[in-house]
Amino acid sequence: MAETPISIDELVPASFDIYSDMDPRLQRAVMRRKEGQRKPSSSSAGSDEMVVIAKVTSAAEWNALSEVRPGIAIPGNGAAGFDIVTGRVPIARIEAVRQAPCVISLKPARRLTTALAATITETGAASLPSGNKTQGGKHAIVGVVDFGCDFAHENFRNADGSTRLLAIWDQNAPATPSSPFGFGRVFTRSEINAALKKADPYSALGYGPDRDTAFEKGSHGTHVMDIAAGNGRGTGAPGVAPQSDILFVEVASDDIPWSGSEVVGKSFGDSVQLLEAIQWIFDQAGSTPCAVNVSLGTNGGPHDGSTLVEIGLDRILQQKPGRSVVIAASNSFADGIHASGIVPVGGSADIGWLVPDRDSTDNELEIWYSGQDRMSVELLGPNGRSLLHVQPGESKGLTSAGRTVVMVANRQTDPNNGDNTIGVFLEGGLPAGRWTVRLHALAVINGRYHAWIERDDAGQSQFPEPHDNSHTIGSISCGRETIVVGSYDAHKPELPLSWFSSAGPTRDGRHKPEISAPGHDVMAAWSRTKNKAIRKSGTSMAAPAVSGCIALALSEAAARGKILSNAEIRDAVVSTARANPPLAPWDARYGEGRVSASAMVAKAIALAPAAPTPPPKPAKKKKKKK
Amino acid sequence: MTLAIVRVREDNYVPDGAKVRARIDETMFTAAIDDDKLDEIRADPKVQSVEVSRRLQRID
Repeated sequence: MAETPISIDELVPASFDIYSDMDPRLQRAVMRRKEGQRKPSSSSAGSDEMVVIAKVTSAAEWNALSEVRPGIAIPGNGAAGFDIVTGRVPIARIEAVRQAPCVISLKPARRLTTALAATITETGAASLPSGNKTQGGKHAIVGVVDFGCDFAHENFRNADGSTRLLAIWDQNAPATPSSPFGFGRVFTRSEINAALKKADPYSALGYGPDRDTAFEKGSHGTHVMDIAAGNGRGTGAPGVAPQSDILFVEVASDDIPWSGSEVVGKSFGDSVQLLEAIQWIFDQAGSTPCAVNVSLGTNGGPHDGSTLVEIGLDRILQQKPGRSVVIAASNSFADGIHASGIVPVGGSADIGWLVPDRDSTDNELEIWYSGQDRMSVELLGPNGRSLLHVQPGESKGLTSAGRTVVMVANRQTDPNNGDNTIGVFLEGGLPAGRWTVRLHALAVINGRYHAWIERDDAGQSQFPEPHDNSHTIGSISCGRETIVVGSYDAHKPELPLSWFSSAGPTRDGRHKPEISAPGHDVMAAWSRTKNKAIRKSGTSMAAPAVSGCIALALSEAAARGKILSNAEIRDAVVSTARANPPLAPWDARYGEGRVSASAMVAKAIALAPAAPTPPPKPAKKKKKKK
Repeated sequence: MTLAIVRVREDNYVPDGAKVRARIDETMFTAAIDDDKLDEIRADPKVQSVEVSRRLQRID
């Protein structure tokens, strides 16, 4: 990390807030992660994982740990009283895994062979109802808003080598006269096919996924697209809707204010260009049913569906039938980024905020509370000294060397929901430790507040433990018409939740996520390899499984002369969800249950006209409907 | 120039200083807004709300 020489005179004693009864190499990995450093990924472990070998009291208990991606298990012979196991563990969870009751010892180890993903089998996409007419989603389109589309991978090509993509809109590309909304560039199917005939199709087209780096192997968008719609011609393992057409938007951000290590290997979009991406996809789809998959989000926001991007998505989905937008729930469950509480009448409430040592990046906290209440906000530094006291409607800051390094804004009556919001911004380089945001009741009726810390992969600040991990779904995931997806591990018989999969509900108490799908250790297309697959984990890997299921249901209904409305699609998703797990009717992380492709297709058959008709052209079909 | 989502109270109203990029419906559109017009547009009684584009991170 350090690019300039460090003088020995500058060195000062340091202690680490790391579980110390642990292998020093594991401690070092944890320390480096807390400092924002990343280890190179390997072909078997991501940049945020460690391959480990452990001595455990029970291999079954080890395998049941949500954090563990199991490798092999060497059972004890009874007399030994322990098993030897291997696996991959997120660095962020090494301390927790080391302290699990079943773990006797834990060591870094060499990489090992791992199992294949089970998305298709577990969701029932491989066992659709007999007589179904989905044709692999042929009568629907899968839209993907993501980063890195490998149009040359064989999973996205037909038998004759031509592309399955209808078009790619690269929002980063220089504008042309025909650019959608005046920016980026669209690559048409014929342009993609022409490029595919060249030795270097990426150079020929002027677009392609990034090359692998030490920190990231395989582009995210290619992997996601394969789960939803890959045909398996290259990897041998098709995705959920392998015959659907595909539209891809390489999303960009108009605003990249960060610099230095924080932008390394990162991909950003923004809310305006996301909305435009989805509008473009549905414009291209016309009357053909289309499910769009989104893997973007952020932590802050009102979490009640009132942001304009969420309202915009809802409106787009209400405009025409045959439209669906699916969003990954987010991977923030264990990050300690949400807090909530009550400010009593006439009293105050403290929100602790832990800024890590050596954190050179900015930190941002956002608080939302009822528009019925009025509160002032006080900021105290790690030494307990009061630094600022900001009344409702005010914004104040602190400067250092002429530069604002602290800012607190206490905004009243948000125009979209009428609630009040407080933003606290700390510039990088401020002292580490426990800061305090103190809310003072001025006129309190409700008193409830929720606070979120923005994501910061280069040094995440947190709320103190115990964490309130509810309400950790992404900030654009709280709309009324979109579908939000959590992740579980389909490789284990217990189907446990992924340790990272964020939780609902929304701040106004609605049930999100709606559904969950396999998102743990999913093998899917590896960009720039033509026919290989790579493993990735995340709710981003769960969402496209649901997008593919929706494409199948849309295709089934279309083949029977029916275009499903968004309400019918949502109902098909949640009413067919499978339980056990989850045990509750709605679970804050599983949602209504686990997605079922086969039951969704059966639902589409039930919703369609009784007498099957040949699939009419979508435009004619729509005119016949009310 | 600032990118924003704009919600207006009157169908098809576009405030001065806002250039429509994508129209969502009669009362909502994305726009490029002159920086020196942003406060004026926010204060426009025909404008319900202006949401400046927010950076979104990839969910892995």
